[in-house]
Amino acid sequence: MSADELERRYRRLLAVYPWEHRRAYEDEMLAVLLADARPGQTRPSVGDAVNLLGAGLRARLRVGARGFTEPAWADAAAVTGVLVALVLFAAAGWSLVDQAVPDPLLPPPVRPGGPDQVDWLRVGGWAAVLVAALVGLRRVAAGLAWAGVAAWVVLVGSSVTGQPAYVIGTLPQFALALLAAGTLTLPAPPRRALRLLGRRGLGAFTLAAVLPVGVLAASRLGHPTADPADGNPWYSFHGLYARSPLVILLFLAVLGLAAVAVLFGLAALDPRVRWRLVVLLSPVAALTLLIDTPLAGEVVDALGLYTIPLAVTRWAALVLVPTMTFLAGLVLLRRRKATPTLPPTQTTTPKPPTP
Amino acid sequence: MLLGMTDSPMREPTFLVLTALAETPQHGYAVIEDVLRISDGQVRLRAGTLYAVLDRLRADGLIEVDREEVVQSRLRRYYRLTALGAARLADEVARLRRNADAANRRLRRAGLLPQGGTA
Repeated sequence: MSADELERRYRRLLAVYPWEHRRAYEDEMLAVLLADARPGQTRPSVGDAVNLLGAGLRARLRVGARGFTEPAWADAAAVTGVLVALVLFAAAGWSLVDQAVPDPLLPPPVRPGGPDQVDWLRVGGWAAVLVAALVGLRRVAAGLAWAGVAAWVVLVGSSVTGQPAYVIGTLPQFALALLAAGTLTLPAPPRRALRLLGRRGLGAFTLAAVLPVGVLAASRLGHPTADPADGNPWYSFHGLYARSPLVILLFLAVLGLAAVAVLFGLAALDPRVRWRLVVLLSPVAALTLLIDTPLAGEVVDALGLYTIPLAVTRWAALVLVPTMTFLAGLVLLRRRKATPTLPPTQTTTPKPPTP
Repeated sequence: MLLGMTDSPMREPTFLVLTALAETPQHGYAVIEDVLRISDGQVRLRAGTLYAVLDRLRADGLIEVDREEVVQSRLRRYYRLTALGAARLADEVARLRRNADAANRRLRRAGLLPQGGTA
């Protein structure tokens, strides 16, 4: 009875090992552990428990690290580097438009005075990263992306104590820059991303990145003025302005087209690359969603008169939620890979009953 | 010159496991007992450590499965050294001997060795 109890407890401890290891060694290890047990022993010794847990977790890490050496991860990294550079280029363009043609409803004291050198540098820098990555100058692209990361740390990160809300608001862009720099640093054959995306896929993603910036520019350029003397009616919908509701609908249709273009681009990718791309981008998506909730960002009261400083738990959430999202994505990807594909069902025509 | 993975100095458990398998194929529990004897009671491998070493040595082609037995409804898998494993162990023995000889010579020259002793 005590041997059964001990075996059950050892099996529970051995569950910490990855399944490949358990399949190869579990029965054998159990035999060794039971042979080494004292007569009447019912519980694993503390030393054995610590040793098994440590060795099991190390084995899991080894298996996890080995997974990242698969060619599909290198391909996904190459594609991610290019697409994230494209997104950052579009974001820089958006920011430029926002500065050049400010929101008409902003009161003049807080209205931006126009783009500065940093805004132009951002657009030019990410355009250069994108072009360098596409033409196969991976190291140049990676170097420029790392320069972008360093620029954020110096220009934005340094004001974390004075303006934490501003710093946190730009964290998704920082995370994207870090992702672009990291993925472009990984070795890949020249123009690999372009081959994987295909011209149509790249075209679709480019359209998806450029269209929203175009909509913003069109909306701002054709915007109504906040002048009370302007008697013409105008319409607003989530930051889009137009003289006619039809134009608002047109803007929404263009944004819908951008969304379709993203789906088209994703569908054109090899599924192994597509799901890894989603997993690589998931921490940034989680971070963005988290910042949009009052959970992690600096809380501002309804009148905007005072801010509640960030607590340690909120900072921890900013780190832990994206990390956990990435790990959950890895687990799902692994399960998806481990799920056996059933062979096609053989259909047989029933024989007619013999008379 | 940078050392490759297979040329880097062996960790003690790896060295002792290879030594235990050098003479005859052995199963896991026998390896643990043999390592205890070889190390003069200094090293008692736990199952987690032993199977991490065995898994890595198998992956590197230094050992292989000799045979499997079921004794009292428990699996016993016997491992043996491969030719590559024997060569790697011999290299490690030579390396350790060189280092030990160098230490011995220096201690002797400095007059720090006890009379007739070897380091």
